[in-house]
Amino acid sequence: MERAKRAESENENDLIRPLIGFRPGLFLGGLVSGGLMAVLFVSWGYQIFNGIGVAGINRPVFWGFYITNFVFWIGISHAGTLISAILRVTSAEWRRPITRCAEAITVFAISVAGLFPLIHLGRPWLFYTLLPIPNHRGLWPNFRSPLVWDVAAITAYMIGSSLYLLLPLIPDLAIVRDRSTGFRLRLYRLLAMGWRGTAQQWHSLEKGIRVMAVVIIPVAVSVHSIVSWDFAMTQQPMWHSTIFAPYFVTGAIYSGIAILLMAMALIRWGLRLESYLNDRVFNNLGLLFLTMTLLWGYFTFAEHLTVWYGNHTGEMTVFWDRVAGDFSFLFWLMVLLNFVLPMAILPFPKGRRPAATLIVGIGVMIGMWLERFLIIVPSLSHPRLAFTAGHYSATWVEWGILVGSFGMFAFLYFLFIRVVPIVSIWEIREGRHLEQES
Amino acid sequence: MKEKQRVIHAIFSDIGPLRLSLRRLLDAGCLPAELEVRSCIPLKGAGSLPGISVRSRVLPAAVIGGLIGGLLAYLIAAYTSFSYPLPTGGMPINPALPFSIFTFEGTALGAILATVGMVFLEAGMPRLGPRSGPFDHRLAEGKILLTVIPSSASIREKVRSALAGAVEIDESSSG
Repeated sequence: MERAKRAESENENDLIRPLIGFRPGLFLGGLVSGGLMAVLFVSWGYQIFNGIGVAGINRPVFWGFYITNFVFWIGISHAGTLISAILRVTSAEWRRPITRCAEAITVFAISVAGLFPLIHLGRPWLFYTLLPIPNHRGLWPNFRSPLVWDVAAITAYMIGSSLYLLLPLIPDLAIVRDRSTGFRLRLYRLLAMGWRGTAQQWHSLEKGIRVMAVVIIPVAVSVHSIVSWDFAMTQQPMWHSTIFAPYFVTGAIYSGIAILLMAMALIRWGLRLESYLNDRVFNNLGLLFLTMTLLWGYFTFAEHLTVWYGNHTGEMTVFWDRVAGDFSFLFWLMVLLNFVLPMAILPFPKGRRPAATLIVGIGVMIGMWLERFLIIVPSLSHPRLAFTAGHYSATWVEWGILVGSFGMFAFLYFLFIRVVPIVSIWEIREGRHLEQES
Repeated sequence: MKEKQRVIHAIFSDIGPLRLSLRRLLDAGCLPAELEVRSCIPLKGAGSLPGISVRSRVLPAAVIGGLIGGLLAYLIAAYTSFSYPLPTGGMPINPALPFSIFTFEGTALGAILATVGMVFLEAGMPRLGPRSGPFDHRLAEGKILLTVIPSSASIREKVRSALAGAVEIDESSSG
């Protein structure tokens, strides 16, 4: 028994090791991603200095890369909190090694997503007019507008997800504190906020996590539903659809699982955490991934079938532009990456191993970004009044901000891995304890 | 001169011997308030440990927080609409469906903040002072720590014998 506990403790050192000492891989990752993040801020700074005209958005395509990125990153943010909450509520034991990886993705993805409305504003300092506070023009926000619902939903989700990440993190910060000395001891004493592990503290924490898990699920669903209503509440061709909300939520969970699998595969490889992020976890998440592939395919088919059957002139213009016109290459690439490739790999057990899921995950990430782009740009390029049709092409500023957003996300994630155990130590211990008891 | 209060820390590797020791401590005359159990994982059935009581008001706090948050959100939306009525093309100025979305977000945010607030309140956090005890590093290793602060020196020996099932015992003064 004692020997088993010692082995367990030595095994846990793998989780704490990235927090201590110099890690060349993490340093290099931080450096590269930090450099890419700098591209975002340089490009954005250039836009602020020179005005929004340096971006390619113009009449009639006012929503280009920025809103595509916004929707994409909001979707990515669904990986964590939603998946973690569902697995917690259903008491799925295999959740234990992945909850923190997932919850951190949510917090950083939504932080990146939150930047895009500011970037798209052109003059970000005027953002406060969207908040329910008196402003210089004596106007209050219009609460009937989906854009204001967005502000409320994203704020609630960001606060909720951050706290949902924080609560289960506290006991682990205390574990690290109790194993630290010097500067680290002071840092983790501060971060652990006085956690002592008393019976009362555990009881309150467990209750809190359970309540949060239940509350955060509808919030996560509402966020992407509201993002879809930014589109569906308008009369633009191929946007005014009743299934847009579930279609967006499905796509969000789909892209979320993709990035979660990618992050897990890289963490497993980079930090040598094979014993935690094992094949069983990848297999289970891979099955969920496969389910979402089918759901995404179903929704995409239903959406296009309804439009085709309706045969409305305005909508058919966009439909044909997507399927066989200017955007057809991107459309079929999206279908290949989001449906054909996953369906060719994921149904097989070998296809649900880390390397295979990493490849499928990268494909789905690209495919889902294309999906967001293809929802936005073709519809705006072909408004119902045909004489206002126009063309959109992104400038280097928009490309820089897109690339930089990935850098920012990765940089925040690397920083997180450097400060916090990326696999929840206490939850793993609890799982082992329960296993021994049973 | 008043004698300094003694604190006895005992390390357990399992909940079975801990349960036995707690029962013996209560029999020896220790009060529940003098006992504290700490661990690095939630102990199954910690509430049923002799002398250890746990309770939580997190759920009612979440419900109340949600109600307040929802009400506030609705009032903000309604007040805004009435104080600056925008042309709505014949649609209601105070529409239930769109406002229900903002109200829902307010409800969720209220419930979340109240939940976390109550967890922190019940857990006595945040507390930033240096408070590490002699066995805190053993907690991090997965052990269970029982702390006893006997009210009188007379039962100190009884306490030590009640802790016979412990892996390690340490006695120090508390102040």
